[in-house]
Amino acid sequence: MSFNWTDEKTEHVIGNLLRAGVLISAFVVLAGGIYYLAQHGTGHKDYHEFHGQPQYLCTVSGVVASALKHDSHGIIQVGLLLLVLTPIARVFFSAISFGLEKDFTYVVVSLVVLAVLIYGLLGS
Amino acid sequence: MHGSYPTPEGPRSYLVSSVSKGFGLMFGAGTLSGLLGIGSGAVKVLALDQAMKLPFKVSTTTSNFMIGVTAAASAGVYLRRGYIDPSLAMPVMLGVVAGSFLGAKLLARAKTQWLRRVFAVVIITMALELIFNALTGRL
Repeated sequence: MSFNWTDEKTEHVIGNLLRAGVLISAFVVLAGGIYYLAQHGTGHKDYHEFHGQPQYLCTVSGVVASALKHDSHGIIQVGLLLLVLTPIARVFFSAISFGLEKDFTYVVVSLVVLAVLIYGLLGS
Repeated sequence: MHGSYPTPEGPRSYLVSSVSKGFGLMFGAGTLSGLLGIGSGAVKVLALDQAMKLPFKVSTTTSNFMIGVTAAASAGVYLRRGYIDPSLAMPVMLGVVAGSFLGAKLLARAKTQWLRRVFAVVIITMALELIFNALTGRL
């Protein structure tokens, strides 16, 4: 496979990537949502006072672990994480495509944005 | 800077002007959205459309994309602080995704003149809501 990619081709690939990311995350959230409603749908949830989420839903690894234990909150949260990861993946692929075009100013800009996004998600 | 965007009559090219003015307006947009919690998309569209002279459809889609990336940065922070309630986020996310797929499909076909009118109505409504909230002391 050659790397003689035109702008249009890259945009096509990235467009499909974004659509796939959004559709997959929507599907996961929908599945988690149906599961959640089946479990808690009849209950009445009080939103008058704000309660933070339990600690296990506050980290990427905790969310994945709880989804694997068939926790409906965890499954929805995994779907939301996939949705957040979609633009992050897009920035990553932008950096690569700018690199292929040898447009190094924009490679640096993309990598700085990517670093901020990853720091926001994984953080200290 | 220049680019091109697809239209039903084939690709049309455009030029980007006053990048520094755009940068300044974007700085203001970011500050406003951080302070007021309003979507700065409206301000971004105005900056891209009026100051940088981008075609309207390019302005709206670029602004939307920028929001996606910046929102991803804050979404990570919100998650770690436990601010994202899955039971609340689930219906919101599904509704927004369905709506945005419909919107994106419509955008390709919609007339720019019509889009501008809808946009004007939306930002006037937003402005009235902000003024109302400020006067009634809810802000």
